[in-house]
This record gives sequence, C-alpha cells and structure tokens, in this order.
Amino acid sequence: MNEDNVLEVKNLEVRFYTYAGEVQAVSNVSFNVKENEFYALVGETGCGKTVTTRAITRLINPPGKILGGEVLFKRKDGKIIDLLKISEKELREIRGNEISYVFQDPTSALDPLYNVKSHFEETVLAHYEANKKSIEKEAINILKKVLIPSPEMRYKSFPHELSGGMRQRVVISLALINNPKLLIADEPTTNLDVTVQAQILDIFKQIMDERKMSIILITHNLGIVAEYVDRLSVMYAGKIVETGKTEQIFNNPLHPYLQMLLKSIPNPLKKIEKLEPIPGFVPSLINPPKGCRFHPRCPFAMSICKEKEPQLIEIEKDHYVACWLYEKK
Amino acid sequence: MSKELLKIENIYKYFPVKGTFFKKITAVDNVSLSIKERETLGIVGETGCGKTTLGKIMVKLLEPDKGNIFFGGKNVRNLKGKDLKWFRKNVQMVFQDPHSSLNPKMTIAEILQEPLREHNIEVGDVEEFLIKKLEEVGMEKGLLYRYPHELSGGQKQRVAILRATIIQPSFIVFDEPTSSLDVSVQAQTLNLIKEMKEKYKLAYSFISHDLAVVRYMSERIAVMYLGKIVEIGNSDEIFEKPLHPYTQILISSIPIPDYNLARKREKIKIIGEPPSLINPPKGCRFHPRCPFAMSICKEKEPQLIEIEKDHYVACWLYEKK
Repeated sequence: MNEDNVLEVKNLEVRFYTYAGEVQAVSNVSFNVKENEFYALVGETGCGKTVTTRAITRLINPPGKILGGEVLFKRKDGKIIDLLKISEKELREIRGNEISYVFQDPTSALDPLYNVKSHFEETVLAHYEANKKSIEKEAINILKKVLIPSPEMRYKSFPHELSGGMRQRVVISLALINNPKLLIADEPTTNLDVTVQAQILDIFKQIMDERKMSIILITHNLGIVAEYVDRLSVMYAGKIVETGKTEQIFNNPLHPYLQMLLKSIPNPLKKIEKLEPIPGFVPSLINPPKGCRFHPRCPFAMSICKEKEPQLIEIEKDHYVACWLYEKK
Repeated sequence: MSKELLKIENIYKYFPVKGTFFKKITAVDNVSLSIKERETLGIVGETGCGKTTLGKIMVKLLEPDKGNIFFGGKNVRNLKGKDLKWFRKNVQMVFQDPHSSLNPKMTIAEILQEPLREHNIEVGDVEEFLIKKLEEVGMEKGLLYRYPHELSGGQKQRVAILRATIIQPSFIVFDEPTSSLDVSVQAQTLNLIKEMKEKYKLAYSFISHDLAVVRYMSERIAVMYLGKIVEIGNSDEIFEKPLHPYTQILISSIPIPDYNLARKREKIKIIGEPPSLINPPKGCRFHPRCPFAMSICKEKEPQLIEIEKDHYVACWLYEKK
C-alpha cells in the first residue's frame, strides 16, 4: 500500500441478486484516497457510487453481495488491514470510529425517540470509555464548530425539534466526535437549500484541514466538485470511467461521457443558448452493454468498443481514463 | 412590446398553523407581478419561500385570501361556468413529481385524451393524433398503451408536459419540473420545454430552487424570500448585477461547474438558516442574515423600487439614491 494513502480499493465487485436478474452494481472498481484529501465519487443515479462506498465497510445487505476485491485501510495506529477480510468484531471497531458516514437523509439517520445527547453518548461509548460530562463538553465543542446556534440547548433537543439543515449538522457532528480518519459523505447536502449547502461544505473543508482527515464525497452535482474537491472519479453504469485531479477533470475531460456531461449542465454565471443533452438512457445493469458500457450513447464509438472493455490507463500524471480512444497513443 | 397576459396584484395567502386556533403563516405576502405573452418568468427561492403557493395561485388551484389576478384582461377570482372553463383551457401546470401527477391506473393514451375530452377538442383520428404528439416529444409510439409505472422518470415528465400542452394553452406554470431527474435527462427535458414554447407561442412561469436552470429557462426572474419578492428583473441583469444582498448571496452560494471560475470567485458568506414563517422578523425579513443590515432594516419594511428599467429591488440600501 502506498505511503500517502489512507484507503485503497482494488477491483471491487458488488452484485445484487434480484428477481429480475443479477444486477452488476459495481464492476471492477479501483481507486485510492490520500491522507488529508477531499475526494469525490461522481455520477448519475444508479451508477454505483453509493454501493461502492457502502461496500468499503461491508454495509451491503442481501440480496447484495460483495464478490471480490480488496479494500486496504490504514488504521489510526498505522496498521494496514483489508476491510473485506477482517472479522465482524474488528470491523465494528472501525465503523463510526475510524471510518464514519454521513448519509443523505438526516431525518432517517437520527432516532426520533432519542435526543441529541443520547446519540452522542451512544456513538462515543460504543468505542471508548468516557464519562458523560466529558462527552457533553466535546460534543458541544463540535456542535459549535458546525455552526449550531445555542449548542447547549440543542444538545438536549429531539430530532423533530430541529430543521433539516440543523439535523444534518448534528449528523455531521456525530460522524466527527470519534475523530475518524475517513469520513464518507453520501450526498450530504442534496436535501438542503443552496445557502445552507455552501455553509456545510465550507465546514467539511475546514474540519478536514484541522483534523488532517480524508473525505469521500458522493455527489451528482459537478458544481460542488469544482468548488471543493481535490481529486475525483467519475462513475458510469457501475464502473469508473475517469479519475483525476479536479483541475484535470474540468479543464481537460477525456472520456466522451464526461465531456458530454459537462456540456449538459447549465452554468449559472454564463448565458447559454442551448444545452447539449446526452442522447439515450443509462443502461440497465442487469444486462449491461458488452464492451464499453457507454458505447450505445457514444458519438465516437468504434467497433472495438462493442467488443472489449477498456481499462483505466494513465494519460498524464494522476489522470486516468477508461476509453479506447486513448489506447496506444 | 407584447401584451400583458397574466397580472397579479397584491396577493396574500395565509395558512393556519396546525395545532393552534389563531396562528397563521403568511405564505405569500403582498406579491404583485405580471407576465407578458410569450415570456418566461422564473421564480426562485429556498424551501418554504412561497414559490409553489404562488404558482398554484396563478393557475387557480389555490384561492388567494386577498388580492386580484387578471388573465387576458379578465379578473380570475370570480370566474364561473364557461369563463372558468376558458381559463382552465388556457392555463396549465406541470408538477415536480411525475410519479404522483400521472394516474397509475390510466394508460398514456387515456391520460393524454382526458384533457381533449374535457375541453371538447376535435382532433380527427385520436390514435394518429396522439402518436404524432408522442413523436413530437421524442417518444416511441409503442408507449401509447403503457402505464406510467412502465416509464422512466424522464419519460413520465414528457407525458406530463405533453398533457399540459396538448390543448394548446397560452400559459403554463412549471413547478420544479426537473428536480427529480438526473442531469443528462434534465438537459433533454429543459430543451423540450423550450422548444414547446417556441412552437406553440406559450408564456411560462418557471419555478425552481436551482438558479442555473432558472437562468437557462427565463427571460425575467423574480427572487422570493419568506413570501415576498425581494428582487425582480431581466434574468441576465439579475445574475450579472444582483442588487439585493439575498440575491447576491444566493448566486454566490451556487456551486459553479467550472473549475477556474469556481476557485477564483469571491464568496459572500451567510449566517444562519431561513427563519420560520410563523414569526417572521420585523422590518426587512432578511435583516437577521444580512451582512449589510442597518438600523432602519429592523424597523421598516422596504418596498420594491425601480432602480433601472424593469429591475426592481426591495432593500433599504437602494432607497433615495
């Protein structure tokens, strides 16, 4: 495992066995996240970005199954482990402690019967021995950091007494209380208004730098990526099609899907006469197209694209693409 | 100058607060605006600012508690019988969620025929007509006898758009028509909505929280905050020269899908979240979050004033200049 990395995912394969057939949700996905890096997985609905990150700590329930791959993680004590191989007991030490999650919907992430205080106590006591006074002190500290007004009062509130933005701030604080090395945020701002979204993303960035942790952000919003993220992978139909630094991805997009995606989103600061949509639809993952999964919608499709699957190749430093157009150049 | 099509004057809409007898919130508070023929007016604002309520009032799905609405010169509030039917034929709405706005027990053909039947519109061979219409929005004719659950989200929204345009109205309200769609499908749908407008010479009101989409769709934009219009003007002007601090903050909060622009620009930070409508702040409703708040902002409510031609703002910063 590379020194700078906190996480390395190699050839991850996840399938769902449904009545309709075998869904190849994540196929041969590899990426790594460096220490103190803001990393993103980007793609449209159903491209496998959520499943990929859930598979990192084996949060895949039947009918889903992780078929293969490696997920190497550097623990707080520096030990490197494969999260797919360790025991459930060891994994529990890691979930919510060394790797924590922030999910899209804060309302269902909080238990309506317990107040904010109980959530914090549960999260800390599951991993450490601590007295409730010190938990409260630390929690209020974090609640202040995520800009919750009058945190002492909010600490005793129940989820229904908080607004959507406030709930998401509580969920973020819960994810941070054990000082994780890796925070996985799955569309954390999708349900929120733009002004609140900007506040929360600023908080992420600030805390990441303060605590030297890494973040994997899952999003479909390329604007957020351009604004905040260091490096990212673009997913399409269960595969990574391009990986690179944010600057490379936006200034020199290589994969036809990414090029077309960037042209199909309106930029609010520019006057646009006409958007250019991507023709066709995202394929079903039960019977994905043979060869490159994007070939039925690709204007540059060649005969090889229908036959063989392209692999990720490095075009310039840190910039990878899986497309036959760039092979052997 | 084209003619004024829809005009609303000093509209108020109250909703009772659950669990109380007398408390009410003012969802739409003294809103006036007008939409010309063949024009798109975008309405933007955050959750709970009253934009959907305003849209529903425009199509007479909700009655305002105070104020008047004029459509084609007629006062809409007391329309009855034939006149009401005329209004319903001319004014349509497309909703946010196509899954719940299409009847699951009807086929696409039945869904599309219903408005034709209701308004007694003769089209000759119905099947032929519907197939032509489906092809117009880029859908296969085989989908005509399918049910909504067999269609994707983007296809359903196309059917909803078709249903609204099939009786050739003159004005359509779109309430977040693409917020449940993926970006690539969103672009297809937005372009379709634009094409329909040119083809059938329609006027739109386009409601969305997504400023990028609203700019792409609209000629004029109204920005709402807590039930009030705080700024209204030409859409390029709103984006290039936003006047109200809220508009400025809103624009600076949208993430820009362009690396160089995104990293260069300076952002205005905003504090707090939108306050509750039950007890809106006194004076200018934005003052608790406004970085430029003055003492007058806490006392008196600013009125919309014209700063440049057709560009109005309600803010004390611009008074008496």
